[in-house]
Amino acid sequence: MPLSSRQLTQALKQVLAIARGLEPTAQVFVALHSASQAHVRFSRNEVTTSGELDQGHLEVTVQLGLRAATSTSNQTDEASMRALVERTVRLARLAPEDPELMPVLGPQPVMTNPAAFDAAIERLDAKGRAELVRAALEPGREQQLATAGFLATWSGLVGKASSAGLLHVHPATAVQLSVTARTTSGTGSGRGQFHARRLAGLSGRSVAERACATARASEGPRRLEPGRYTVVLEPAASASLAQSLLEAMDQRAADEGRSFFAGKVGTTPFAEVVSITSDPRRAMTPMLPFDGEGRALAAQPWVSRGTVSALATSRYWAKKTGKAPIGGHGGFELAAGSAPRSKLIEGVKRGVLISRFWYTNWVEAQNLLLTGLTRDGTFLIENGELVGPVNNFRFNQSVADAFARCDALGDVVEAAHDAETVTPAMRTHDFLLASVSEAV
Amino acid sequence: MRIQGGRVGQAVYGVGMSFSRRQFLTSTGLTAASVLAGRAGLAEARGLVLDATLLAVVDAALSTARAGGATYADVRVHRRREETVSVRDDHPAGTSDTERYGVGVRVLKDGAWGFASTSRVDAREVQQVTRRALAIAIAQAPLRLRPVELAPTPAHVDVWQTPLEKDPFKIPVADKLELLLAISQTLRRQKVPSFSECTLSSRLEWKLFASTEGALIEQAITRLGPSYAVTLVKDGDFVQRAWDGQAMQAGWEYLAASRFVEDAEQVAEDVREKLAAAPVEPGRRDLILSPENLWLTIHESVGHPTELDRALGDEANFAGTSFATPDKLNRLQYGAPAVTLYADKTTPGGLATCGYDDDGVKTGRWNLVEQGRFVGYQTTREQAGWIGERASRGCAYAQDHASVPFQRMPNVSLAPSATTLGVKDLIAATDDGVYVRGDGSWSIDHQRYNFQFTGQMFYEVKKGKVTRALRDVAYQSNTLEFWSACDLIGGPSEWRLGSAFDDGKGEPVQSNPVSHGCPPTRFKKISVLNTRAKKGA
Repeated sequence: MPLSSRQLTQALKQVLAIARGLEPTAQVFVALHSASQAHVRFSRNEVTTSGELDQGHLEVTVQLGLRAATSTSNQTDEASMRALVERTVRLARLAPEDPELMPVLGPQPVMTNPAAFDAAIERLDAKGRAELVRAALEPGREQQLATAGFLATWSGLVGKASSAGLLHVHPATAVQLSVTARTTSGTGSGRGQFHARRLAGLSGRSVAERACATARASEGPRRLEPGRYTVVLEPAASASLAQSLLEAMDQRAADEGRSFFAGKVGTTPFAEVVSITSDPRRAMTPMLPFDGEGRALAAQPWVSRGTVSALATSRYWAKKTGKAPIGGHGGFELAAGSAPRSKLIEGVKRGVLISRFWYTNWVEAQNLLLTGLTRDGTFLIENGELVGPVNNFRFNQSVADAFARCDALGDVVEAAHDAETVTPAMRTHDFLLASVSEAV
Repeated sequence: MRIQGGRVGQAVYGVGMSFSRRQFLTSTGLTAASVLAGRAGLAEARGLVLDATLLAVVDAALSTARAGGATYADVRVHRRREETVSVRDDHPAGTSDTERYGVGVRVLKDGAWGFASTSRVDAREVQQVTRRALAIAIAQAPLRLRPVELAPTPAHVDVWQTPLEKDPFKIPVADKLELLLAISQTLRRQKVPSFSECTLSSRLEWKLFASTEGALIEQAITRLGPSYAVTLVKDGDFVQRAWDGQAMQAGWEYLAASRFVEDAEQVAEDVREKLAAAPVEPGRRDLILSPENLWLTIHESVGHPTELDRALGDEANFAGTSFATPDKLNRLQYGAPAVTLYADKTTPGGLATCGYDDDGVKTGRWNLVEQGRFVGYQTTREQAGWIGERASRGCAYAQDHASVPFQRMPNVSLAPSATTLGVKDLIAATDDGVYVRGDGSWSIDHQRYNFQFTGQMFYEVKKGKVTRALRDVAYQSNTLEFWSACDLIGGPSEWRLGSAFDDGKGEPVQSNPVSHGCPPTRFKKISVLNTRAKKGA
């Protein structure tokens, strides 16, 4: 069983007390989460594996001057915690000095985010999960499509404490259901997904029906040659690009000259329609109101009307360069535009509608060249209309150029990739679909 | 799929190391008959750890499962420990020690699986966990179309461990940091700004497996992951060079055999050469791939497509399916007749090497592609029957106590040719080619046709000679085209292992450590791209 809020707070304080007993002057940081996780997998229209686990994770960092060490364990009984702290102290005593070490954080402004937790997820049991999955299996069985999918829930407490007086304990939940449907011909595939912090609004049937509809619509693709195309990206695809861009937005790498973002803060490398922010309190993507170090989080602009507003800055780098630390954020949003989805397509003379990207990976850091595949529904657009399904492609595209050439964004955002990022559909130009992939 | 970030590079595998695994097995292996004689087997089998509570935990799980009507159950007590020391430029960048310990119980009831786990290793807790696993199986059974059936396997009672001389966990952290700081200093001896990152990971996986069929197996696996990279910045341009070395299932003595320290000089020289290298001219070229590059291409284009669960659709919602479907078994020409690719969970030093899988099946070696033809799959006890095979290939693995075992990749390797060919001979035989060393970026589609890889160092080969260094190289191909274009395979003397510390698969995603061996090999007329071309790659 996961720890109660009282037990978890007690454990945090106990670890600090053990450390104080061993090294009274040490700076100590403790992170502890304790959660129940459950999952059901299915494929070929039947359940395959299903499990429940107690997830516990205790992390202790001990700093002795500029010497430091971190240890983690999933054991939270007193003897194990004592052994863990003792081991960490021993390691820290032997460590060479790290000039980049920052002091642990003290008390932070207390802010809770009740929307990050839903008791309905905590209550969902094996029977309740089976019921959700039964509904998700029905459309595939009815329509003679092969469906595969995954239901997962997480419910627990996240705690942070330090020898300098930091103490947060916060509950959180998450649920996800995804379904992939494939036609018996093997030439059509589609995906539906639901990511949230609350159970309300999750319908196994509707997630599966979306997958089935795309699978049928994408069946029997025609051959389309590789090349540079205008593309309309569904939210799952635009989220891949936005997350890749955010991953590269690091102040230190930029200052060291080994990043696309070197010298770019305050400049406008992207189109004016592009704005990206993060906010732990966004209603669609509620997050914990503090980061991994326990620092309180507020709303943060990253890209404002095409201009780079900020790059993630660690506490050490902020101190060294005289800036404010920025980072550890969650709840990202690529702001919606004004175009209904149909309008994004109407404006395209010849282009490609992309449902989703897969297996993306950096090729070059300097120009933000990303590679990857299209997947689960790729369609030709001609004269403003969807003509039909086409083969998938490998793309090789600078993410920076894709956001620079973006001329329209959809008017609705979706959490189509995970429970932490929302994006609208997006249109951009000269997108390099470099070679054909025969994969479906 | 590989989880980004957790991986390390690879190195020359020392041929002088002695592995006495076979001998070890012979001296400790008991027959299944002794299990039937009773629980005395546990005391006899336990060679690594003594802990009186474990017998009670095993009994609690198996007896509760039997009483609850399970037709099969197994219990795994699993401990993972990982120690990572890192250096950035001229200072330590973190020392961490991670431990996870617990019990996972898997039951088969009414033809459906149920699994539950706990981090509390005691008999009463495990009784409750087993009841939860039974409740899950009961809830899921109505959603099965066919009952789960397991291929038979002998009930082994045995102990297995990584053959090693020095336990890396017994080497002081301060010594490890000193080693990394020395390497880092060598790497940064450049006049232009340079940045280095060095990491050394030691991992221990210990597990005790027992089943209602009488299996009782204790295993301890030690893996070592050394890696480093240096980045050079000049005039708004930058390049990175990572060491070719690889993670290995081995003790501390592997580092001495791997040239971990000695290679730093060359890596520092390489990054300078790379920054000044000529941009590659795109086009079709003959590729000569070093083992430190080709291992990853084998992983993606042979390792994953021959997973049976993937081929049948079990991974469709995540990693994808496979072009290598069962109707193509023994029919499909996968590559040139010279190409034989085999799976082997007994390769010395391989990250996926062990004595028994997490179904309790004894590990072995078999062909996936034989003389160019597709002939085999990776399977588990549950999967063997899906293609009419009578026995599992022993590919079940769970990353920790809290994870459900499922089919994971064994070491998959390219057999060397029966020649003495080395990389020098391949270069001498090539008229217009590119020689690629080390691994870089990777990506492959969800049915394993279209792939693209980069590398670390690239050299132009003209008329049998290396003429100059190149940069910004990627190669793009299709699995069947690529392996059909394989025309020169090196001999055994330069056959080396490359490895992925964290290969990801499944939902929830699990990490599997795996290695791939190969000699330097040539592929004719493969499409080469320039990754910084203005008009696009």
